[in-house]
Amino acid sequence: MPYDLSTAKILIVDDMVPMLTLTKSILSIFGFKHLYTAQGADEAIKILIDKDPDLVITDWMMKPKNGLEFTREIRKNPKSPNPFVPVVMMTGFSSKLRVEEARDCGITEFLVKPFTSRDLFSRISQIIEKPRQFVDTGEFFGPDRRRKRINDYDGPQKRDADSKDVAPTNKSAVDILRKLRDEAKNLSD
Amino acid sequence: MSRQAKKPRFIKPPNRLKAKVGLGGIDERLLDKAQTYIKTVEINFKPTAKQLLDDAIANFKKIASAKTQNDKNNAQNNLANSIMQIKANAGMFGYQLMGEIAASALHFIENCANVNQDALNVIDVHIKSMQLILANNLKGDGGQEGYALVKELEKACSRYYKKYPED
Repeated sequence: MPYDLSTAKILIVDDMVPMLTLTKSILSIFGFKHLYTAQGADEAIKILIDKDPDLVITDWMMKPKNGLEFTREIRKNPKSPNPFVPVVMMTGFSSKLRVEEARDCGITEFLVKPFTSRDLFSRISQIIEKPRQFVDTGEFFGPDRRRKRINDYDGPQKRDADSKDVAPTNKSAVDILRKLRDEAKNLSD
Repeated sequence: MSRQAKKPRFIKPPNRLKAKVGLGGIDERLLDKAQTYIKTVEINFKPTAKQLLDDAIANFKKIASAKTQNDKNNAQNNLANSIMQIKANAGMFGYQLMGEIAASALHFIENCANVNQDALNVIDVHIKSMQLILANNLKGDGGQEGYALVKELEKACSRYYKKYPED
């Protein structure tokens, strides 16, 4: 029997409207019905207090307040209705340092963009089935950062898998790409 | 939840999400349907990409003309942010090749301790590639030519690191 996603409440925060729309639509296809959106952290905090979501999915790079500051506010603001609410951080950053920076701010899961529908659902599934315990050290309050990750992906490469979906490159496009490649070839010699 | 350092306290919060959704998983067909939606969605990413590239170019110019190391570092950080946004979003809206070039550029910018003229040249060709891709509306991953271009850009980065091992 599949999950009943109809009563779960999700808050999605992203200042890029196309991405906000896309993420909301994907979650809607999954079966979530109560989806709230905000284009910035301040608006998101108001929705958070008002709606008390079960899950927050936020972008990192936002102005004036970024996703890390927003997460800190969720965890530490006395008005926050649920400082334990799981937070999925979406970002194009993927370096270890950036992941650690986000973890240190109290995020629960990290989702690197671009992502597939399976990537997004796997983070939600992780939160449902393997929730992190919280740790309060005084200096840090948030999900326990010590979960081990196995990163030994040896499946098919994306490009091979997706090759049939690639837009056919016409002759002028091929010429442009070759010209750029030649330019790159001559760099740093 | 006091903010002074103290003995760690472990808390197992109630799993509200689990309590609501129950047991099971998700129908595979819904994941496929969502993925098809991502691949076919008619959201016009071009204006956003153009704005992000303009921001990247402005920050690139700031690095080139920076008078102090602090100004240079700030511009480099802002450039990384703009490029990261392109990397993050382009692939979601059909511009996979642009996203891969942005990923190469981001990796280079984040790992380049001292942006000299050679580094600027490497970044420049990445930006120029993305500009041309957008101007010509080259969606998809560009096939074999796109792959060859990304590999060549990555090689340019590697040659730079070889030339400047301290970076």
